[in-house]
Amino acid sequence: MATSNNLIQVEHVTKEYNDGAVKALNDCSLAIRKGEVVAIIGPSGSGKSTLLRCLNLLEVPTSGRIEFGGVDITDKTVDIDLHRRKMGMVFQHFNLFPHMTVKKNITLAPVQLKLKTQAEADAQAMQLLERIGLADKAEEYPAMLSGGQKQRIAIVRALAMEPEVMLFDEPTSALDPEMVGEVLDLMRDLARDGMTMAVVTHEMGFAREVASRVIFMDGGAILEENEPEALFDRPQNPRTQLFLSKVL
Amino acid sequence: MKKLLAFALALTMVLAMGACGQSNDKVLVFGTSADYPPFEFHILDENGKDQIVGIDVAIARKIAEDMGCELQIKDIAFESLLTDMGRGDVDFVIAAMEIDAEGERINAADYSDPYYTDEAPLILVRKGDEGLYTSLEDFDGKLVGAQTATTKADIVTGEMTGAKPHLLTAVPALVNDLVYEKCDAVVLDAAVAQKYASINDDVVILPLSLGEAAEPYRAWVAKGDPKGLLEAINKTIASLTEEDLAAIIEEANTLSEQAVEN
Amino acid sequence: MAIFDIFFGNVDNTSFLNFSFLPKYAYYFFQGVEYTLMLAVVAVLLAVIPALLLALMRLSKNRFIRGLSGAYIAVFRSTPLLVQLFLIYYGPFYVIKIPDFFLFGFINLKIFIPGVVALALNSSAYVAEIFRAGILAVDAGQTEAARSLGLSSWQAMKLVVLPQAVKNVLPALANEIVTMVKESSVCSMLGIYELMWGAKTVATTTYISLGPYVVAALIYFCINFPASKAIEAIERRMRRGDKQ
Repeated sequence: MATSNNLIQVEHVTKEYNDGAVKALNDCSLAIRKGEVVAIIGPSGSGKSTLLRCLNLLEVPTSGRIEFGGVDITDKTVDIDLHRRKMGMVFQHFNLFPHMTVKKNITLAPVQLKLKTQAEADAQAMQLLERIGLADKAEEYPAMLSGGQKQRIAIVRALAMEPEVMLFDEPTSALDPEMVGEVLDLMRDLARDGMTMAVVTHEMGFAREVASRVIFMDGGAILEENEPEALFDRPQNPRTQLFLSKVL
Repeated sequence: MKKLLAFALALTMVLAMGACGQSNDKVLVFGTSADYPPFEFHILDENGKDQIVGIDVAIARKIAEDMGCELQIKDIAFESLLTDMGRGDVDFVIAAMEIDAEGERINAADYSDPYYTDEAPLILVRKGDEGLYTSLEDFDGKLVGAQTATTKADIVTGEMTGAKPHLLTAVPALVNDLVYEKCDAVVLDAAVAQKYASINDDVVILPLSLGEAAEPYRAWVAKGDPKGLLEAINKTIASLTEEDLAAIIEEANTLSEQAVEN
Repeated sequence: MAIFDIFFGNVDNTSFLNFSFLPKYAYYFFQGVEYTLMLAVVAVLLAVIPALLLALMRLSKNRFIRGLSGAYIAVFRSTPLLVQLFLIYYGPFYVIKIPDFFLFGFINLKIFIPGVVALALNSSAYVAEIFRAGILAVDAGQTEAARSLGLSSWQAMKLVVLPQAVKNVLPALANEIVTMVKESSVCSMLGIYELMWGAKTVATTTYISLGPYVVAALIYFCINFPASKAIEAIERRMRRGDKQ
């Protein structure tokens, strides 16, 4: 059933906490093809962040399997570190390393994992910073940056690993409104360049404009998925209708 | 790990040297508990350097000298002296230590001939309390202090049967306890009791006899005398004339007096 | 002895306020301060590496490793330091022989090392808990970010979490030295010439049986009180720095 086009394949994934007392994910299945931008929307507590964090095993599913590039990464014998290199992740609260300069933040992983020499990594970091117009911040510490700058650098940090997919966990939720735009612009650029992306977001405008597919989740389950226009204009599931009527 | 082991082994070998008498090594390790003037105590010499001196130390020096050894002094808590000697940390012990009634010391170590016989121990009480005690029975129900693991402690538990023992390791603490009414009397060696009574207005010696004379003090070596020191020690003790001993006592008392002066 | 006599007039040998020994015997107190500070500082420095190890073990996923570290911490925190000192001095340091060697010409290693090691082993149990708290205080997002980049859990710990934890931990570590300045007084029982031993020796030699302890108390206070205040001030400044 897995076609070679599917970069990520999620099959019947369930996530429980406290020995099953809390069910965060309930039998979720999902496929993400190469080059696709998948937006995951839904009310808070619907399990969308949990689902995203399962994709690189920051959360380990209670049952079900997740394939990445044809490999079952839920298999205990698989070295997850190797696969995470190819899956960039961007967090709501940026999670930049406060004790390192911007440049060091970007070069840390490529150098430590011996993918690049420090010189190569530095050159790449400067190139990436150039691209987002923050080259002058290379030697600054994160504390000196605005939220929007921090998040763009966090995105660049993930890009420095040259990932095959980028996972975004509510990347603009912690930002002041005037800074949301610069982050979304960068994400839009990435999508245009053909990056495979999974984005948990509350930015419906962004989802409609950039996503190739939108997934609606509630109560730990995927209730509806469709192309953006169809899902936003003609939602089928009553819960989707209710949710969209509140946020649009 | 191997390196560590080798290092530990080397250390052990460095230490495995015998006492002065047997090997070519010229150091004799002498253990004492230097909180007991005038027998053994710390002073600052004329150069301001810390020194351990006293009657017992002078005798230990004489023993080392007669054996042609260098004397190394170890200051150890009184109750640990025989233990440490058993472990081989010290070669011999002189610390105003006599044969105890219970015989525990004889089980733990061997002893020399006597080198000093004190008067019988004395009882120290607070000034004004002298009238309360005319016999040992008067201590029934009273808290009576003595040094832990000493013959004085044996007197409190064995002869003052009605008294409750209050046992501490240090004599100054016992005298403090007496003055500050933590206990009612303290049993001390005669020389020590006399010293405290003479410099302390708050305490007096009770005119109550605890026997004719104390058990004499002796030098001690490890059980079975593994280092073969006893003969040499006894020889030195036998060679001490009464005048020698008097001079040693005189000198120790002078040092103690000087230490007290400011 | 009347209370009045203790504090005023009648300055006899058992008075709290008899300091007549001081000019002559200040040496023992100076020497005592040197030893006490050396014991405290060396003990805490020695404790750092085992404590870090214990803290990491405590945070391990492996139950056995976690239990091992937990047991060590429990034993050393639930028994008196004095007991630990004696057991270590007469146990392990009976097997491990240390030659008679005088460091800097005055520190007798044969008793100094067992003393400082006992203090360090005790301290490591407390410092381990400090480290554990310091590590847990680092936002979990930091580990997640590091792991999401493909770094191993040890790389994430070493490169990202520990450097940040150090900052959380430094004030508590300094406070541990203050604690050790006080606790190291048990080493007087081994005959290490620290402050308490000095006081005891002066009291014995001069028959002035309480004044020396008052002086020792004053010295302990004069070391520890300013030190704790300084640590508090630095801590406040560091916290203010965090907010910016």
